[in-house]
Amino acid sequence: MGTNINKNTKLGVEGTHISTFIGGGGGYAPETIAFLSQASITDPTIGNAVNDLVLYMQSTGIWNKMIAVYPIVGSNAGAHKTNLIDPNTYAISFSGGWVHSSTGMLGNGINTFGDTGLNPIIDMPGPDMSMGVYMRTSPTTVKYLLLGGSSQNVYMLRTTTSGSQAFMPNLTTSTLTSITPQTGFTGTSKNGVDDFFILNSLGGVNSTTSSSPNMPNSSMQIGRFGGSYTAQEFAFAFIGYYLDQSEMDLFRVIIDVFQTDLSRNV
Amino acid sequence: MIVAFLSEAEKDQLVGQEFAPFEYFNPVQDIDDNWIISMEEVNNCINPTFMWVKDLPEIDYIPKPEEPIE
Repeated sequence: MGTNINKNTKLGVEGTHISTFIGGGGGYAPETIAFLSQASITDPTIGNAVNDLVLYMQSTGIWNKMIAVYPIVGSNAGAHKTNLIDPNTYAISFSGGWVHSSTGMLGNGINTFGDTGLNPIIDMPGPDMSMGVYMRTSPTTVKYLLLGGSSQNVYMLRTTTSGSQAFMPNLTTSTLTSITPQTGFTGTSKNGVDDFFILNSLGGVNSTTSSSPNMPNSSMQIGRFGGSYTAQEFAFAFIGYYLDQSEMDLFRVIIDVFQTDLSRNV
Repeated sequence: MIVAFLSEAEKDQLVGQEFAPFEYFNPVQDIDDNWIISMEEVNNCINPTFMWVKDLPEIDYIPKPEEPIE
């Protein structure tokens, strides 16, 4: 845990793009093609980065544990809304004055949030859940929701000026605060049996034992809680079933590689 | 921070409406309960029905106190 690993040695692949290695002819995976088509993206740099992301996720088994993955590429709302796992589901509905660009989507701190339409209680029943983000900027004040439902007493990922936090109500240790830095990757996961943790951009983990369900019972939102809206820039977001700590750390590396391929890593 | 000021009636017209593809107005209230939208919504509005937002008066934005999360 916590080791920065070169993508080629970590994933056992030589060459710049795994697509070339696996496919032999360099063609894109069907899932990549579906995403690029839905998002109206033709830029080959983005196409290659997304294809590598798809293939890394598939080869590591992470793909099958995800419900919604937002690569946030394409520089406009129509592309940023698109779910890589199934481009026809859980498109983000953007409210307020987001700034969409090649580096991601930047909240204005006044009225911006994204609604995924994914209600965990309905769409992924059971106690298992993971979620995470890749942030290019730090929070400036107080607490903001990064990912979570609209109700307070449920599982959520949020950020403060002192650290990103995974919150689980009704536990003795209800808040797990990651160590800094807050930029880059932050992910949290719970299995409803004995594991609840948060993992930060350096692979550092805080964890506790939890069997608490507390699944959000409302549409998962990005960037706001009640009347508080974040002014941070998002460059990736995901919601899925439980990932163990090794899987989450691997996903962190995969997403770091993705951001590096797009020259927007922090 | 500068924002665009809305009357109650103007706010009602904008709620739930698209200002650009896949992007929706989100009027909120400032500390004095004035309804406002951000300048990003104003500047990026391309919906012909709502081009009048570009003529809204501008005011300084002072947010309501933050809601505690816990």
